[in-house]
Formats: sequence, C-alpha cells, structure tokens
Amino acid sequence: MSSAKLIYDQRLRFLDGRFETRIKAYEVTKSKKFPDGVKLSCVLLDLEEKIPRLLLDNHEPYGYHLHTKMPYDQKHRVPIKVETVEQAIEYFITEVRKVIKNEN
Amino acid sequence: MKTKKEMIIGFKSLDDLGKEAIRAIKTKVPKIQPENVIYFDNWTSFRGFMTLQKLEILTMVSSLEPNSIYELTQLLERSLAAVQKDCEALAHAGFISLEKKKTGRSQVVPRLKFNYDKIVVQLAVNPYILSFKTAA
Repeated sequence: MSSAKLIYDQRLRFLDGRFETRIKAYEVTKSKKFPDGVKLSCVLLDLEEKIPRLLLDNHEPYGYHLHTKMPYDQKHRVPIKVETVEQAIEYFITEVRKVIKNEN
Repeated sequence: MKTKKEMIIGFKSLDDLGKEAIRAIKTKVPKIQPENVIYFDNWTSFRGFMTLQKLEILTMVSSLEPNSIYELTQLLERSLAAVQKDCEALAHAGFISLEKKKTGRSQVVPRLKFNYDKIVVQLAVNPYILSFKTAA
C-alpha cells in the first residue's frame, strides 16, 4: 500500500494579512501519477475575498499545472512548462508576485 | 494545570518559503509549521494586520471568554459586522478558533486557538514581547 508522508507544510501571510500562501508537499511512491515522488500543492488565498486565487498542483494526466479561475471554474487548468518540483515551486512564487504586484 | 504557551510571530520572505520547501523536498527532512507559529512576510505586514481592535479581541477572548461573537461585540462596543470580520481574520491566521455551538440559536464561540497568553514577535535583533494578559 502506498503512503504519503508530509514533508513540508508552511503558511505565509502578506499584504497586511490579506493574502496567504501555503505550500504543502508529500513524499509519495514514484508512480505514473507522481513521477518525481512528490505530491505538491501550492495555493494563494485571498482572505478578504475569501477565495483561492491560484492553485498549483501535480497529478496525471496533467502533470504540473495551475488553476487560475478558482473557485468558479475548478476544472480550468493552465499547463506549465516545468519539469521538476523545484521549477514548479519557483514558477508558483513568480505567479504569486504577479498577483501581488497587481494588487498594490 | 495546563502550561501556557506563547504564540510566536515569525518573518520570512516569499523566496525563503520557496527555498525552504525545495530544501525539505530534496533532503526529505520534514518542516511542518507548528500551531503556535504564524509567519508574515515582514513587520509592516504584521503591523497592518494586527490592529488595536484585533488585539482587544484577543484580550477579551483570553480574559473574559465570551460565549458568542455577539457577546464579544457588546463587550467591545463595536458593530457585529466589524467584530465578525476581525474574528474571521484572526481565526484564519490561527490566533483564535470559532467554535459553532448548537444550543437553541446557533452561536459562534470565539476561543484562543490554544492556551497562550503572550504573542512573541521575533524580530531579527531582539524578540519584542506583546502581552495581552489582563488578569493575574
């Protein structure tokens, strides 16, 4: 039986606490679903509007992808050109910066 | 007797968050945020969040343990909408919990997230301690 082990879970609040970023990563058995053995979830929450603004996760058949129309269209996925979990996290941080920049 | 813990406010940047996550994944050394630590990206952000009104809510919840947000509103002499908004923000950040009580009318009871009586702000040089305990 495959088991997921939580290896990272941290939350960071910014812009007077209006936004929160949470990164969660689980170590999982390497499989077709999770080829690099990591189940990743990165979310940017808008706490004033009470909605998730961005969600990056990874699973087959999509691989790493970004949800940009949450919560209204949860099936809207934007494929992203990254190959590793490191690149995915860096990509997410860059996207978060873009959202914050537009809010300032 | 339960020992009181401190709520710790830490600071780190968005980049730090990303680097930490990558390090934890690479090294496979878990890094899980404890319930008594809340991170902001900088002091200004924390100061913008933790208004005097929110600190007052924490003081009241800690010392008088009101049975509902409505009761808290009366203690603070503020509008229900404003207190509710602040309570939700405090709850989401992890300072308090909002417990739903179903006795007759449904009530939302604000309680400290855990048994703490100090908020310790960890600035780079020296910790800056804010105490909101009102009763000895």
